Amino acid sequence: MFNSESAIYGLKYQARCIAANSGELEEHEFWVGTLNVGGDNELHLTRFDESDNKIEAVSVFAHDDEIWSITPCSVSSEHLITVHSNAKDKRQRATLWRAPAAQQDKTEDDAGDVGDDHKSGTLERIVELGGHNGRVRSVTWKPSDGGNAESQSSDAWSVVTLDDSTVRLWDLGVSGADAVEDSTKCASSEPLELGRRQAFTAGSWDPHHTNQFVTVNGTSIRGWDLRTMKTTQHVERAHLDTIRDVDYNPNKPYHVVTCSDDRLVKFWDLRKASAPLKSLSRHSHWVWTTKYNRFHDQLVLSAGTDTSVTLWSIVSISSAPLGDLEDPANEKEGDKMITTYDEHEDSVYSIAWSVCDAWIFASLSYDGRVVVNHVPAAEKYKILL
Amino acid sequence: MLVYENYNKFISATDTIRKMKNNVESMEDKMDSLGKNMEAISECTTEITNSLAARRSQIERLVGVNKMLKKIQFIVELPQTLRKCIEMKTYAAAVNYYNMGNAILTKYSHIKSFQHIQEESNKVVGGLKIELRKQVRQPLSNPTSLAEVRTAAEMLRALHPDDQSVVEELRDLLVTPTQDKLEKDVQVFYKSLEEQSAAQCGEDAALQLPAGQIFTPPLKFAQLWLRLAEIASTFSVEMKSALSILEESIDAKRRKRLGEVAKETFSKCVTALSAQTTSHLQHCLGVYTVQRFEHLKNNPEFVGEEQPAPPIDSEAAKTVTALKPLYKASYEAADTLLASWKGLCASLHRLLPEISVPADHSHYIKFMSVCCDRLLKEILTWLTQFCQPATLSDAKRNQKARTLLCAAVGVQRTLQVGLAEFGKPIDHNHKVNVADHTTKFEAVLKLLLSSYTKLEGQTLSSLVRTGIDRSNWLYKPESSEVSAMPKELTRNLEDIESIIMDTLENGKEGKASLPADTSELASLPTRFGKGRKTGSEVNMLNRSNVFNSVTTKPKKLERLALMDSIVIYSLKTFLECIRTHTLGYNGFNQLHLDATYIGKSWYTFASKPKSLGEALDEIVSSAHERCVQSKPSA
Repeated sequence: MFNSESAIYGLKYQARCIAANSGELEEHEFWVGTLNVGGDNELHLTRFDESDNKIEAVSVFAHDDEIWSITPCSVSSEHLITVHSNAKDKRQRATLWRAPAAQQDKTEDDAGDVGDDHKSGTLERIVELGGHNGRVRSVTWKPSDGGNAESQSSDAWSVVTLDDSTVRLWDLGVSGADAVEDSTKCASSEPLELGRRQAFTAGSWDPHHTNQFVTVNGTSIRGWDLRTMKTTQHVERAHLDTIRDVDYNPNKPYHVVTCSDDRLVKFWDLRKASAPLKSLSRHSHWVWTTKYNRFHDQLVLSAGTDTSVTLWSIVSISSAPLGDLEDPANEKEGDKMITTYDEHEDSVYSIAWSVCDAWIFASLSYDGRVVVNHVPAAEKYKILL
Repeated sequence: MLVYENYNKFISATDTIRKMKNNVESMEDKMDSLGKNMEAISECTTEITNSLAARRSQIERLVGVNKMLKKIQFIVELPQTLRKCIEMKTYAAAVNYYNMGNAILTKYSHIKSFQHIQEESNKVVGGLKIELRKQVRQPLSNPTSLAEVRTAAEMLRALHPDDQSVVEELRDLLVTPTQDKLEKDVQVFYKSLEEQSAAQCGEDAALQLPAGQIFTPPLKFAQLWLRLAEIASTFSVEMKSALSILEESIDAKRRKRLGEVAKETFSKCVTALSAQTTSHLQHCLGVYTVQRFEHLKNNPEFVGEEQPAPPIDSEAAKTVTALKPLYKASYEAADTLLASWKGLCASLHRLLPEISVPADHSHYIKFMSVCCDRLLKEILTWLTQFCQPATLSDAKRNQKARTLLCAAVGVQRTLQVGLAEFGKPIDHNHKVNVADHTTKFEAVLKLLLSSYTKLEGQTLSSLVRTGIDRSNWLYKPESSEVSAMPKELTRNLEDIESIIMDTLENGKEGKASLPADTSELASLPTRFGKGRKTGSEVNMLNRSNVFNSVTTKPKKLERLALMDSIVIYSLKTFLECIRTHTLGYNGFNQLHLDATYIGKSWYTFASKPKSLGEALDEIVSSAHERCVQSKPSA
């Protein structure tokens, strides 16, 4: 019934970042950006067609600088922020863009063409989020509350950027031509005294408490209150080596997952963070990214430099309904690794769950290969039924 | 003719007839005289008989009277005789006389004097009976007294020939004390068992052994085993004797019941004792192993202040040597218990055939497998825990790495040699399940190896990252020297290699020889220049990534396998770090130089120099992709 093979899409250059187009709630759309030192980079908006099991590019935008990360707007499908740099200016900067929707001029004979000539568009630069100390490390958009874009208040256009030592909260105002440099307001934290290799690497916005934010830097996890821009919590030595990514559990408050260069993926309850709730050890080199499934938080993806993408089912600390546990057939269902996807041949630096479906995700490896995969049907039915 | 031939015969026949006629004539005369004599004789005898007849009846009467008098004398003297016999302890004779006398006395008991006599002799015999009963009560285990008991019992029986109650009484006298004794002994046994079990708690301190001493678990229950064997053998002997004395008066059913009761009693004792012994042994072994490893863990070299790296033959290596004797000691301990157990079974076998206790070795098997299980479980648990990653200072990390390696060697040796001891069959039907333990040990070995390589890999990765992050790759000044980081890495790898070789003791084999064709390495400078493959081409080709082919899970405890994993891990880190930087022309050249240096210095570490070449190739390609200019600016 469902074709569960993976679909592959290739970029012409190396790439590091893929993100689900969170403003688009009906199609599986992913933004991918290339990372070529020599310029001539591109930003692709790809769409995964479930019925055909194919990925095709909806639009291709030229983006000169190499793209280190992409953060789509959580309420609009046309806006996104990229962190980019070029050879002349080594510093990584963050810019808000508007990507106009592609023209609907597909003709029959172009249907399968991956060529991007007639689909290209131009990015409209709206504003640069400047004034950072050193490199911009990560940008996180405030998660939307659900519902359609019109009901969003202007608070939805808030963004947190992390650079080497500070956390900044930006209020971008409402989108469109109104936003110019001056109208953006920025609240910044005090720069932290961080040692070598202790710069911020990633952050995640708490979906349950909109003023809470968690960041990871070096081997520490820090919780922040965005109203005061101060650290509320500091977990030292959460991992043995640099932590690369952090993600909040969408259903269970205070639960986060982190992954690190020490090859471990750890789950934490921030109210009692002296020890992790669970520690998964399966990767054989650095784990670069880990993400919770937006709908079913027992599904967790992790990927890293050992070229594997691993899907886990962590039921014991998820919000899975207790009804599952009463079924005698499920008694032995513990936490387990569901499967490892090995379609990549180079380090996987980025993964993204689809926004509109719980069972589809995309992963991107350094050689420019985008792979879209499904959660195995058996697991899917186990969760649904 | 006939007449001519038989003429002689005719003549002799005639002669014979003539003789016969003569004889007969003389015989007649003789017969007459005989007849006459006979008549004379009979006349004489008749005369004699008649004359003696009167005398004869008189004599008979007298003889009769004499006998009667003798009997009466016997009866009258009976009590005296009995007393004399009893004094002289010839009880058999006494019994005999009594029986004889009693028959007559009973017959003439209406005569008063006889009654009197009977009463007296009864009294005397009563005393005898008491004496006999006393004798019957003697212990049956002593052969001399056994003989006495036997005779006494016989006599008692003889004294009461048809009296069932006596038989029953005898039975009680013989069998019951034996049974009672057994019960008492068993109770005492249980009591001492309880006492010894309760005393267990205070003995943990006694298990403190200085490091290095061979473990000999205190066999406090051994005495109880011997005691039980003693009880069993005593009981068996006594019961046998008793039953042999009673012979037919005990029927088969009763014998069987006796047998079953005894069997049950002994089974219970054995079960109780073996349960206690098992748990005691488990406890001892458990405490000891935990202690040994705690000692290792708490070794000041681990948790104390920074210290210079100790030599290889430290506690870590002692763990290896301690493992083997530990198994041996537990085996020996169990063996001693087996000997006691066997003794017990043998003595139980000596009981009557009705009491058949099976020579049940299952208890022993239980000891052994429980000992093994507990011991091995402790070791495995601790080793698994030890493999967990932890934050350590450099010195401690080195120590931990070495301990992991030593433990891996120890476990491998155990797999080869140690577990075989447990596999020795106890008897043909029973064997300890070694396969299960082997699997667990193999799993732990793999875990140890992968932990070791990860630990070492991480140490080196740290160096790599520091080295790369420090350099300014974009604006590097021109240099023709290899940077410090690869040199330091090489030194570290050499150290690691020598440690592995020392620990493995046979790492000399398998050292990769210089590849006859070094063109693999020489090909490095050219490949990066070809330019990047496009994304779609990447999808078509099945580019085998060298970083996938060698994982960080070495399969064997072998120098090359371990070094491979460590090398690949470090190179992977190198690759990832370089990818996060942007390089200038000089920076790229520097990197290229470093990569070439690594290729030349590390070929001895890798099992396949070709893979090493490919890995370095990958690094240089990535660096080239990150390179801003491929030519120096004019």
